[in-house]
Amino acid sequence: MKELNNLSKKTLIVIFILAITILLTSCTGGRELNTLGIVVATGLDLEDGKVIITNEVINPAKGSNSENSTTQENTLFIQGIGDTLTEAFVNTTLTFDRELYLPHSHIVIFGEELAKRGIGDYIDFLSRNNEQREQSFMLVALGAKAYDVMGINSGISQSPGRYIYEIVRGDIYNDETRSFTLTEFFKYFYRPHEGFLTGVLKAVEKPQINKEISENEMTVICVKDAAAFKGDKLIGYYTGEEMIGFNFIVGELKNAIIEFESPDYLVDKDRINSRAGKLSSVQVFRSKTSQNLKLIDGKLHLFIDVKFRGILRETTQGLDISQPGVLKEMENSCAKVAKSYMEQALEKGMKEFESDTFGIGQLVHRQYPDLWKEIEDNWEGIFVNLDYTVNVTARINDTGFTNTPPNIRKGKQL
Amino acid sequence: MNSEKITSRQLILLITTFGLSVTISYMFALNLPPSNQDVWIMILLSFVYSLIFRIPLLFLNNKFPELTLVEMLEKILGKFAGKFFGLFYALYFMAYTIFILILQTQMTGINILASTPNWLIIGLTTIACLYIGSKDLVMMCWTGELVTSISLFSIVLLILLGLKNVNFTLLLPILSDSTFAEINKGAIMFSFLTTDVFVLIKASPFLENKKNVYKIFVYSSLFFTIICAIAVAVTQGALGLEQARHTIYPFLIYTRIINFTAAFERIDVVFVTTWIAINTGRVAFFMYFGYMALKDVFNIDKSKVLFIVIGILIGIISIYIANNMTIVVAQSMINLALMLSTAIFVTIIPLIAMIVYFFRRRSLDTEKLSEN
Repeated sequence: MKELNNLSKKTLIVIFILAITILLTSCTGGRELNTLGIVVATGLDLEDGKVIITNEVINPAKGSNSENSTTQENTLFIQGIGDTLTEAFVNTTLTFDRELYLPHSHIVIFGEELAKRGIGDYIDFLSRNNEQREQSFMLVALGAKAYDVMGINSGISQSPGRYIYEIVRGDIYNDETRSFTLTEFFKYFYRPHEGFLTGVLKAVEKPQINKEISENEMTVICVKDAAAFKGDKLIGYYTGEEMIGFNFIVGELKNAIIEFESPDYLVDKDRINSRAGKLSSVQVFRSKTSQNLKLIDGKLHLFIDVKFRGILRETTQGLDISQPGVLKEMENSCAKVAKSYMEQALEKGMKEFESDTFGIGQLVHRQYPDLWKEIEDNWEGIFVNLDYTVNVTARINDTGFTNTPPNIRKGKQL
Repeated sequence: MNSEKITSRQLILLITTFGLSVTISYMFALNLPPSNQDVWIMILLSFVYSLIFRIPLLFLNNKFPELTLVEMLEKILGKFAGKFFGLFYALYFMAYTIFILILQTQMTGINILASTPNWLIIGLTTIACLYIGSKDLVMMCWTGELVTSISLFSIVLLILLGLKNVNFTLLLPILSDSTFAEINKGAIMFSFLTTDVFVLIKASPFLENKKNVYKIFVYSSLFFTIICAIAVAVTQGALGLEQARHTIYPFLIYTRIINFTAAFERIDVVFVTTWIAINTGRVAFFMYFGYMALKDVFNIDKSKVLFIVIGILIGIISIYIANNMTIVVAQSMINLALMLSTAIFVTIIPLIAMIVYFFRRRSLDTEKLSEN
């Protein structure tokens, strides 16, 4: 009897497992790949008070290996319009035969008009939607609609969206811009009494080099500069040089080229072959910023100390760096330029934007918490008149393979 | 090792991980006073309050190690009052099971099974819990050890992998924006949000070394507090103080932004599956506790039918609530209800029982001696 019971128990378990295997082959409501429109980039614009969403969707029929397919054909651009972002997003299904799928969307672009009118009402969708990647980059189309800068692919990526993504991600190679992911964007967006930045995209016309193509010009995407926001509204742009200064100030400079002129007295005029060049380039590969605030006569004074190391990448000026003191003077000249970038950025932030995009308010909060409680509501007014001192120390650690540039004759032996 | 007994390590692992499952899911600590960069300090302080508020329950458990919770209450407060409170304990355990079951359904639905109906998620979880709960407590603890150790490792690993995104300066200035009263208030409230001391109370009769009850609780509370404080601090550092508070599941977002080389990207699913594993265990335990309490109140012998009925009832109520209400768990009302219920069942009722015990100590001790 006991054995019979055990047998029936085992049979029941086997039936149960088989039933589960048949019934639960996948999640209910699961969406098959061929029913999805995989979005790689999203653009948001405002027109006549309506939101226009433009989605770049992968075209599965034109795979990378398809013959005769160009990179432009690899994707489709699907637009939807509505009073809200959700309505615009869902309305894309009225004209497109796939449901849009966002987890592969790496780029979110705001048209300039929308950004100027305020993005606050249009970002809830991005944080609430579980499909949207938190690692997507947030960008503003400089002087254009979002859809104007979409669909351009002048790189070797398979799609325009991927092309933008790879350029934006490349900010680690060039600090004349700055990319912010969705999470970073919200981190700064929520900071009280402070502004924030996003990266920018602009379409730039360039001469067509490839003679096999009939057009004389080609359009490329450039991500130089950054957009500054106050509240939720776009108030202007930091230029590339100001962005180097900005990245120095906030201590997040990764890689930048600083071009500078060295004093004329360093040039050994007797041995010079060419006088056309004036500049030297140093690639900054490591920097350290310390920000400090002091109360001087009851007024806040900001001290920014930056120390950086760089590699001498080029000099066109005819400088013999093997001579004593030359390198030191070059370091000083380089530091002066870096300092001017920082001052330009600070001046623009204070006087033009009147918005603390540098997080100085947070510094006051950290250093003078009691004072911060008194002044935080009036921080913008205080920030625009903040006194500051910038100190920069540059070190050129590496001069490459050349000790004397080609445009100077080497002097006699020591 | 005696496989019919529960080891201290098993219980430490279970209590630590069970506590973490509820505290890092929707991180209610972020909305408790001082709700700023000092939240991690408040959590660390809650360790002290957690010990203080659980003294009555642990003391009574130590005095009557062989009795169940309801039997203990009957012994001290008398048959009627004991059964009265016992019934409330049973309802509390069942209500708590419903809460964590709905929480699990929401989190699963929001992240990995967006289109799966609630009845299916709750139904499958209930069936799994009924199966787990049908084994006795010792077996549950042995299985739990395996699941919780993997889960705990996963949580710690996810914390480490996300450190790249953490800006620790966001946690400054320390103790400048919070008052002593705020931090203490938050610590007291936080200490009432974990209920897993019941695992220890229920499992203590089966402990390998019964003298270790206090030690187990201190160690598990300490580990839980430290890991929870770290998880909260890194989440705030990665998302920013405000964004973390705006998010329903902050730690889930923390795991979603992990980008530690291409190999460790989009590994939030690890967190969700880990969390589901822990929470399913937790649901099974509390379902079992509800059954045990109800069984003792109505003097029913071990009954699988009763356990299944309780499980089905919990499942149906959970499906009904999940289908008809959206529980935003960060909402203060839900937290308030949780804290009040924990205060009542973990501290106030045991405190009343402890006071009565001190008054009736002689008669109870004599009774115990005569029984022996």
